[in-house]
Amino acid sequence: MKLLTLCILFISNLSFAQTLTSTIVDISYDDDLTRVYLENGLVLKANSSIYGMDIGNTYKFHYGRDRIITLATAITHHPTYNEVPSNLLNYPDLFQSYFPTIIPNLQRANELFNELEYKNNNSECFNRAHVWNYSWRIKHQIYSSKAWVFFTRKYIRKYDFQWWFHVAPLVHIASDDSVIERIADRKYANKVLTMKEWTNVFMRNNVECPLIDLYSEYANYPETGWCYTMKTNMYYYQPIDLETYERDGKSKNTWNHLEVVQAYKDALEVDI
Amino acid sequence: MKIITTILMTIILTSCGSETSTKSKSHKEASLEQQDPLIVSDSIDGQYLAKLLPMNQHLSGPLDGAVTLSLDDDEFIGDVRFFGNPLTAETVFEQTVHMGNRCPTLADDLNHDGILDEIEVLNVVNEVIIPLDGDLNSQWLGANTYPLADSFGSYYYSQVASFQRLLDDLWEVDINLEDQLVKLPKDEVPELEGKIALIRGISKKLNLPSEVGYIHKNGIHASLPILCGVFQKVRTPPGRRNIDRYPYPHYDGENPDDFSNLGIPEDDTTPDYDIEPTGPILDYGN
Repeated sequence: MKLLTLCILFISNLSFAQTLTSTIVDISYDDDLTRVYLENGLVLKANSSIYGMDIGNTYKFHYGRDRIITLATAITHHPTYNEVPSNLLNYPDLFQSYFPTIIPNLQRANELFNELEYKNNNSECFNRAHVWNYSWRIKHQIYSSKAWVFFTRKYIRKYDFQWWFHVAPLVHIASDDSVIERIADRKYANKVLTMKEWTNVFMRNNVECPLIDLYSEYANYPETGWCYTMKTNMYYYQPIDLETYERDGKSKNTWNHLEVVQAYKDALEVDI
Repeated sequence: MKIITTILMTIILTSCGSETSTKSKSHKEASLEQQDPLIVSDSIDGQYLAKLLPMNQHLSGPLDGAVTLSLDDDEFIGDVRFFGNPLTAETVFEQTVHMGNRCPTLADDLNHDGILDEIEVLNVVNEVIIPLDGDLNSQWLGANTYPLADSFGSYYYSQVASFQRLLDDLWEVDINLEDQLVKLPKDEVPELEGKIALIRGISKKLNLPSEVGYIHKNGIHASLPILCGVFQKVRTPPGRRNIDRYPYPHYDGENPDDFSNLGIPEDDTTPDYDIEPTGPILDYGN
């Protein structure tokens, strides 16, 4: 019976082995546990210091259900899709002047939500969000927005949480004499959600995530609170875009071809 | 065989448990927590933030960052966010907390060469009380182990320590009066608010004038001060309550259903990819 149990556990572990390729954005050392923050938002762990692995480099990670890294192989990779063509750099700030489309009603918003293509793979949230925003733009001429949620270091440690940010499209919907905002996250919901409903999917402690205007209001407060939310136009692709906007004033107000291509490839596994 | 199959199926089904199933259990277990009210008491506990401002930006290029010290009972955490540029790529940065109470200005450029060098800056920020190095528990343990920026010139540093161990170390006898480190009288607890965060270092690829003064044993490039900030206790957490309902916008003299003039940039050059619309093009005014 013991042998049978061991076999089952082994099979079980095998079935949980996962791999992914991503770039390290941060490494922290907490309580004898090393946490590796990846560009795709995932937080993996190592039981000891990870010598030879550097921030900014890309690796293929093998890890188990506990997110402990079992093997990491360096990948030669040049993330050229991060580069914004220089002719896009001098646009005015669209945090102030972006006017999203207002969807006529909640029913139509949910119809649009149900149209979003979702492939059940290990795609990154920022790629899915970009594809969904983009597909609404080209199919329906809809200018939507994005909602971001950032999890503090304190939250990640306390709940051993596996992500440091998440992003999904945000739509603006006419309702009576008002406009309401809803989040369209096809992977985690079956209809559009309020911001609180959406963050509750990820918040183990049900807290409300304060809305911030600048990335530094999250990044400079790693031990203050549990989470923060942010709203931007649909062209911002990754958190580094928000950091760059804040420091250098480089806003994004149009699609970056390379980012859209990358997003489709990862989210839907198609070349466009 | 049936039993084995059942057990295997149970394990597989558990492994496919979604985020939601794990979460519902956690929801039941977790008490409702609130976002930090940040009740600021007279105690030293709390978060201290030093927003870093560039010094010598004409040499270093644009930089941004912050140092955060967090104290909760005995848990002392130091975090540094450094957002750099190609001139700071793959470079080691010395990050230290100093006894001074202000950051230098160009008025402190004593030789008027337009560069705030290490000697001029240390005159203002004074000795080091806490090196943010490989071991926050003591000044000497982890000495000279500092973060290396990535190929984009950025890094994130985070270390946890015991505040009591840090205090015990600060209360030791200062056996080296020549170094930049300073000790405190026994039982004196350092006031973190008002202290100075300093970051030094720049890529060796940068040509620095020979008259730049320094005392750093690792040379002129390792000595160059580039970011400085004053710690302030965080009394108001960032952010505000999200409002997801606002009045319907009406525009003077315009049809409220016509959104064709709402500032959508004319040069929004959506690339013409080979993706066919799956349904009729709906017109929401744009």
